[in-house]
Amino acid sequence: MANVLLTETCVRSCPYCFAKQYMSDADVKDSLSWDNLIYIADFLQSSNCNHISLLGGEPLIHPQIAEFIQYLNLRGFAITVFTSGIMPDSKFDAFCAKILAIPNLHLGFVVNVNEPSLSPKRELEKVEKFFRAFGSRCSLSFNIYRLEFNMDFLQEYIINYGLSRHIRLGLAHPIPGEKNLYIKPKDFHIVKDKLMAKFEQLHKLYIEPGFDCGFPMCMFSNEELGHLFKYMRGNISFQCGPAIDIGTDLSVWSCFPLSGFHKKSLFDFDNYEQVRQFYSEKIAEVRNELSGVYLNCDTCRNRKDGLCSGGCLAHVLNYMHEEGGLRNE
Amino acid sequence: MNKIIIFPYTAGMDIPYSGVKLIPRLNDASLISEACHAVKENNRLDYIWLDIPSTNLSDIEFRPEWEGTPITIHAAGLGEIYKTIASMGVMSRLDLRIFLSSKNADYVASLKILSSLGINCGVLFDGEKLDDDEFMDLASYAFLSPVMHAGIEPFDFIKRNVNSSTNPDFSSIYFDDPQKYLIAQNDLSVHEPGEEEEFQSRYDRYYSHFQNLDECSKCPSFKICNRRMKQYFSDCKEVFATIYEYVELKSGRNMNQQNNQ
Repeated sequence: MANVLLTETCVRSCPYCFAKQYMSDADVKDSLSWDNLIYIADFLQSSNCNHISLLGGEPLIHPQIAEFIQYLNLRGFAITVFTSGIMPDSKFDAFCAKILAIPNLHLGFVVNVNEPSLSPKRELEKVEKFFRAFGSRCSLSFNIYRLEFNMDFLQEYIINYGLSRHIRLGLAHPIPGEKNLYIKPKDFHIVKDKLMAKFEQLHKLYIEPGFDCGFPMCMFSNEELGHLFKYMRGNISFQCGPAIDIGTDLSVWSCFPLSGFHKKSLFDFDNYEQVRQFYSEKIAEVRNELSGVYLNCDTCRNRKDGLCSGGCLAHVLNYMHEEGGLRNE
Repeated sequence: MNKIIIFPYTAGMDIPYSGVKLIPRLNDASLISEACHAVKENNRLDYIWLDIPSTNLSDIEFRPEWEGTPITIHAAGLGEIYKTIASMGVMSRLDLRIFLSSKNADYVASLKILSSLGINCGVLFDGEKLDDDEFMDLASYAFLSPVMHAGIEPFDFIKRNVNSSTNPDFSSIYFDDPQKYLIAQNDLSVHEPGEEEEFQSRYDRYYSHFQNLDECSKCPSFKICNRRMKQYFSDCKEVFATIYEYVELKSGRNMNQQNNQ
């Protein structure tokens, strides 16, 4: 599944944002054109990829977002939109009407939310408005960037607005060379303790958590891994691989934390598998030198068995920051 | 008469022809069904030509009862894209060929949208100079896209008809071929030229530039263009040389080598 950026402008300024590096380099006026969307759609379909993710910046502020969704749906794509759920009031009603009128729509929203106590009231109102309109098509995403995090509001959203009973959880990762907020590997165990307590609660509510990439397996004891298997209904993975992000200008990179790492153009590749292969090899080159976020990763049995990748490569590149420039083309 | 008569159709008119193939030219989509029935009473229908170069597709209400009727539309552009795409359910069941004006700044993206959604379409060259690079980008898509899509004229005609031994003229897809079509006057009268007149006309169209030794007579892509396109491009020679390369790439053979054998 490829991630396609519709815009390079965001409506929020999250302190953990791992897209900060990419956004700061981008022209605020850049948004994906029809020509580029059609090129990407052709590229993916010729590679037998029929699932596409739309993100940004904030994809909902793209002036043709409804038309893009309508078009991709007609071409047979299953569409996931990664969004904050925040869009201008003046455009919201028209967007809703257009989306809800599309027949046979294969569309889901993954709404990235921040703790309400840390969010402006106006933002919360917009998010809640979005949930009221699209609740059944929405699932939640939450990024953990501080140790004092509180996830209670997530289940409230799910229950109050009828959202999908799944929560995507991410660990905020460093942007190599930048100063965003993130969780240091030495503190992963603190995060883990809070998560396990919360997962027990969520399980009773029939809400399933899921991990984004970057959680190392050794965060959890064997017993905890057994519980996770149950909480996540067997959908558990500690592996990291290229996510493949495609920019508005058809530039391509492995994933957002690594947006400065061997950035290429989609024109450099014949198909999607070539792109994945290229970045898998680049990632493997780095991990051959420094396997993961902990020194123990070098000799870890789970890593050698392919069960765990050793945490997010962004931490590894951050350690090597001074050498990082030599690793980028 | 072997030629197809193109005549202006208006609501409720009596068609003065009998036993011939006709193209009624309309400026109102609501007349399509009526025109189709009227033609088929005593004649044969080649195409309905909906000639509305100032109207967008989103302003047309495509009707399921048009199914089975070949319709060529000359329109301005997609208009409201959402509305046009929402009509695709009906449009995809119709026998349509949609030409969009090259005066529209978004004509390239619009044609790619139509083509990628399975609608035969084409460029309407209506008097303005085109951007060479944009046109070549559209040609690249038409010839080289890795996924199946509907044809885009004139590229589809070129792809199907240009080879080492023929020199086809794609003017017929725009109903602009006097060998095939007769244009009726406003009073619906038609003048069919005699053999000698027709021969002279063809001779003049084809050979004049050779006699004048103009640039076209020396152009290697003449067999595609036939001097139709010079007025539309800054460097028509490069544009059609590129298209000729695409044709060869697509056909998988070097047509020049065939000529030399």
